[in-house]
Amino acid sequence: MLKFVLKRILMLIPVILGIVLIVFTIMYLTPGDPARLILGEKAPQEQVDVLRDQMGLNDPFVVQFARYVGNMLRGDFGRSYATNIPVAETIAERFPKTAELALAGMFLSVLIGMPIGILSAVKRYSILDNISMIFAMLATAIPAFWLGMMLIIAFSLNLKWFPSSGFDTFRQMVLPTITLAAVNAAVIIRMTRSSMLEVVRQDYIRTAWAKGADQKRVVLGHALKNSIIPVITVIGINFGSLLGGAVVTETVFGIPGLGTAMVNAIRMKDNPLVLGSVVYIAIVFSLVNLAVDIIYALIDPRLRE
Amino acid sequence: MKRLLSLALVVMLVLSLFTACGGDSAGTNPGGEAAPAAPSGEKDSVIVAMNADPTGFDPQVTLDATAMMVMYNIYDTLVESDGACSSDIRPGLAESWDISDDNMVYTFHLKSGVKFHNGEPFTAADAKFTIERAMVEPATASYCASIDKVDAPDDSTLVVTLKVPFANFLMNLGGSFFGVVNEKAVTESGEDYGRNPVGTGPYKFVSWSSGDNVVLAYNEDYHGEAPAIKNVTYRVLPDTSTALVALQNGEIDALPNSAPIDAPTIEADPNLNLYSAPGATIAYIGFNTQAAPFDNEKVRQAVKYAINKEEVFMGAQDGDGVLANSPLNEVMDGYNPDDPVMNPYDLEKAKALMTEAGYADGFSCSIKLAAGQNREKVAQVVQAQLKEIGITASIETLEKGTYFEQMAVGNYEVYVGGLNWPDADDMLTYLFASDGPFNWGSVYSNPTIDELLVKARQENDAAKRSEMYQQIVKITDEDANKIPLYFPNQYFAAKNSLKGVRVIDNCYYPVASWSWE
Repeated sequence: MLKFVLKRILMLIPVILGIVLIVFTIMYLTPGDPARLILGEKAPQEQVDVLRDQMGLNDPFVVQFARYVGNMLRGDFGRSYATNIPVAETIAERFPKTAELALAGMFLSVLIGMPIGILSAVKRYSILDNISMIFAMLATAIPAFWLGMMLIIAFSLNLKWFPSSGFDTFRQMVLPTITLAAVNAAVIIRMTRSSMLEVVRQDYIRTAWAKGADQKRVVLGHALKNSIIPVITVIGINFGSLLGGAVVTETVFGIPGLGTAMVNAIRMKDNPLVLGSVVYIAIVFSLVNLAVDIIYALIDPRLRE
Repeated sequence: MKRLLSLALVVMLVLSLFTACGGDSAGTNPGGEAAPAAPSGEKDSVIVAMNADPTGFDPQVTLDATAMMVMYNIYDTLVESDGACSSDIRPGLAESWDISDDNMVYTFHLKSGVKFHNGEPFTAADAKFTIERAMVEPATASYCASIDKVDAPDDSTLVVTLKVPFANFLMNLGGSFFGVVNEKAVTESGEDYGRNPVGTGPYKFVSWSSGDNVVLAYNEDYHGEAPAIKNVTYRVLPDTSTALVALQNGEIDALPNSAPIDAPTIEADPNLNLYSAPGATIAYIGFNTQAAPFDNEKVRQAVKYAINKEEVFMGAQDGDGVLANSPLNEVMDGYNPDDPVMNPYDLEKAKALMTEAGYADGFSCSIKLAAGQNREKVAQVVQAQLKEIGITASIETLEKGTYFEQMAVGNYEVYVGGLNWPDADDMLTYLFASDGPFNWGSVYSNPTIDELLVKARQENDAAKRSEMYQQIVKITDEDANKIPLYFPNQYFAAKNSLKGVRVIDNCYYPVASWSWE
């Protein structure tokens, strides 16, 4: 097990380097001059050229790339072009909010999604099942920004139960978490339901019924354990991407997370911040995948090789 | 059993969502931010919304509007000119000044006893450092083009010598980019100065939580009148709809640059006030005057007569603002509402000109614009109007970076542009000078205009200056190299108990002049 984990962590290094090369190349090739975007529309071209020189943007691609990787390997992710704040600091400052939002959203979606998914599978075609399928369909179709705005208008403006933005106090967290959880809950419901349905039709479940086992034990004990692997996959992937920042939710609710920081950095062609964020997300995502794989092994003895 | 337990957990969680964790209702005192500033509703604090995270508070480096909004409260300038928007010059850090007869040497007599937020005394050396810094930093160098040298013969005298007389020199000195910095603080902080600003203004910098908020607190050693408001918090709210709800809920006190579309909602709310002023951002259509068919003056004029500005104004802006017959708005030198004609729409004349130019059958072209500034709607209305004279225009909406790259090399035919300047010199130079930054791809060049611009810049008599600008407007109306459309209004929404608010520029909001009723 330990060897497995170590091997996966070592594999991170070529993955990160590959990602850095790809993103760096994309940023280099896409149109848009960071110096121009910093100084704005009104700056005369001569000043833009002076800034380009200062920023080392006129150096050939290989020189710029080597410089970046060299610094990165020494732990220096550079300073943001726009704010001149060290990239590592900005990421460290913005990440906690995103992590909190992701955790809260994930927790709520699992809390809602799994029980409903299980019940739907067990009571297939019942009213509960139909309702939850409709809910799942709606939640997947409704755009997050619309849902967020509607929640704000209904619960913040009209009912005045919750504040409309921010993510510090518990009450501020409610609406954004619900917005985020809605879509994920839908996915989890459907995944849980379909996975459970497959398992519930297996022979060993029939045997358990036949042996007279209590329903709860069959469902939660046998069926759930066997059907949970695809669900964990889905949860893992969603969680990983949420950690990259749910940009739309963050923007609507004014949450200073990593998602908005990254999108702004991309718009401003703030290369150091974009690259730093991408490296960071790649690492986090890989670790989440690793965690998911470890959980597989823990749940399914067949995978413990 | 397990199922009952999980059900119970869900119910408990749902219930706990609705219990107050502090007892305040969202109506009177919501939010409870982790920020150290006092919450809204207290009479010496104010919470202002920002639509983006600022990129730093170094006046000679940062030019984004949200940063400037904050910097006008942290820093003072040598003279006050409403953020370089007003020619009514008032003393700032300079109590008085003498101008030499040839208008080239300005001698400023500086206020004494002024201290920076870090306790250091303000001297002419800091003013000299500030201006010399502005002359070399890429963001501000173009504002210092007329400055030759700066001297500080003693601690309270500053002498600035110009290369040529420059009528707007004093007005410019009131801009954020000339915010006076402390030489010691800048040298010591080095690259991190942007996060540790030190000024002489009524408010000192307390903290900046990236993407979240900026907090300022009253400067007890302020050299001027003590402001009524002691604590300022700027909250980052990128979504205008959320910001509006926050204002309506009382979570914030002021919303600068509120969206025009929210104006009716704000006006209908008995607790809110909507302030508006004509803006100084001209929306216009530009042409590549070196590429056929727009190198033909008749074709450009045909477009001029084909565009019904009223329609464009209503369609793109909901009539919110004023029509423009030139890039000059009512406060600028040279403004004349009667000449040229405000809306020269004349479809027959347009068609006749097209035939004269040899394009009776029309042609196709592309209209370029940068995404995200309401310019799409302008392009759509213009596209429909051009169809009437046989021009089939396709709209190319480009991402900002791509847009700049293409414009800079002259890769465009028609474009929808916007430019914001509070004075005629900058506005007309940018748009019409041969080396004007908005002469994208250097396609336009008129030596008469260049000459007039230089003469006007050095002319101290406002009447003579106005005449020259009017001449320029006439020439450009004739050759139609750019078609001015309208000036959108600027809005500011706030709780109606907040007094002292003036809307001048999109970022000049000195909190020191505000107070609670």
